[in-house]
Order: sequence, then C-alpha cells, then structure tokens
Amino acid sequence: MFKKGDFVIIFAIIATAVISAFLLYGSGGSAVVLTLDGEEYGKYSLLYDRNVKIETENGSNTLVIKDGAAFFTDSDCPDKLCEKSGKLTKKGDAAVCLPHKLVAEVV
Amino acid sequence: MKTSTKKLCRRAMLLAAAIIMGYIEAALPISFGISGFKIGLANLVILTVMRCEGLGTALLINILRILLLQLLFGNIYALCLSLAGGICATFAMYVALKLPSVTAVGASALGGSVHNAAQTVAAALIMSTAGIIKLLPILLVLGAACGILCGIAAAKCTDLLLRTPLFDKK
Repeated sequence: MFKKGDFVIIFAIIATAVISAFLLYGSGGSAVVLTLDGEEYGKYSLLYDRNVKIETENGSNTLVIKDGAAFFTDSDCPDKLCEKSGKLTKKGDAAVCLPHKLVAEVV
Repeated sequence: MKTSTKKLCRRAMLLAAAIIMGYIEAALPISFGISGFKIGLANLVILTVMRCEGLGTALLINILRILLLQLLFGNIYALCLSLAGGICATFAMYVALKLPSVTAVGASALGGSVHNAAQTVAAALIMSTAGIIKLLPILLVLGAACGILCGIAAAKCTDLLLRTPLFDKK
C-alpha cells in the first residue's frame, strides 16, 4: 500500500513541521517581562503591537512592542541607556533602566 | 449539457457520502485540545472521488459539501475557513497523485497537512492575529497522521467502488 513517494511526502511534511517549529519557538522570544524594583510589573506578548507606559516613582518610560520586537522610548532619565539597548527580539535580550529600577527581558 | 444518469447517480451518492462524513465528524469528540480540529473523514470521500472521477468532480463535490454543511451547521467564518482548507487540499492531493510512486496514502497525508496549514493562515488573516500561527507545526503533523489513516481507508474504498456496476465507465 505504501510506496516510496509516500514516504518522501510524509518525511517532507515532518521536516516542514520541525523547521516551522524552530522558526516559531526557537530563537525568537514570545513575550517580554517588565520588572520594576525587583517585582514583576507585567508580561506582554511580542505578537501583538502595543505601547506600554510605565510610571515609576523616579520617572516614566514607554515600552513599544512592534513587529515582534520590544524597545524603550520616551524615557525621562538622564542617560537613556535603556533606549540605546535597541530592539529586544531573542530570548534573554534585556534592556535595563537603572535610574528607574526597571528591567525588560524577553522570555 | 449531457450528463448520463449513471454519472448523476455517482455524483449524488458521493456528495451524500461526503456530507454524512462531515456530520459524523462533527459528532466525534476527537479534537486533540484544538477547537475545531477534525480528523478529515470528508477528505476520505474527496480522495475517493478524485481517483474515480477526476479533479473537476472532486472540487465540485468538495465545494458543494462545504456550502451545504456550513449552511446547515456553520457560520460565515467557518465557511471561509473550510473553503480555504478544502480547495487547497483538493489541489494538493491532485498534484501529489500525479507524482511518480505516490499512492492515495501519501496524497492524503499531504492533503491533510495542506488543509490544516491553509486553515491556520486563513484564520490568522481573518482574525488578524499572528498568535494562531504558533499551532502550525502540531497541525501539520496531526494533519499528516490523520491523512495517512484516511488515505488507507480511501484506497480500500476506491478499489471496492471501482468494482461495482455503478462505477463501470462504459
């Protein structure tokens, strides 16, 4: 009942599934976690574009999530190191705003 | 406009079989935790039609089946998703059967996977969320697994049907 071509097709499907799984779950993270002063502030999916405004007692930041990447804008801290961290996309990518005790990390 | 009575009978019977399969499928509680997942029993009939009657009749019966089933039990979203999956799967199976040394089993496995992939993409487009794409790898494998089982059944069905007087093309 099975012929060689069947196995080729089934193998191709499994290969496609494995490759797509790697692309979907592999290097790219799925969500970004904000931590404020050591406590979790919020968790946001990287799949949905949104802006998160964070008000801390020391100042404010905005975390922008766009096209699967998260980055800080509009920080009112003096050094703006968190904005210079650039776009966070991969698991483990992080941006830190020391003056506001705010950390964003991709998980 | 010359359809022989035999041809009409064959098509009516196969369409009825395809709709009954859809109904049985809707009643089966097998979903692997994914809402709307089906094992593709209707595909069994479509594959049989394709091998007995050709691509045109298979497409016709599949589209009619989807329209009738969704009119009876579905809604406009389910209709769009079913059409996307059904039409893509029918063409995929047609191409697969043209390839050398591919039997109904391989064609059905490809059909099941393509059906699920097309539905996932259609669902992501209609609801404009990328999140549903995350189900794609598991749906590809499940589609292939169910497709293999339905393909074996379809191969048996085709062999039996082609021996009956109704499918004697003289």
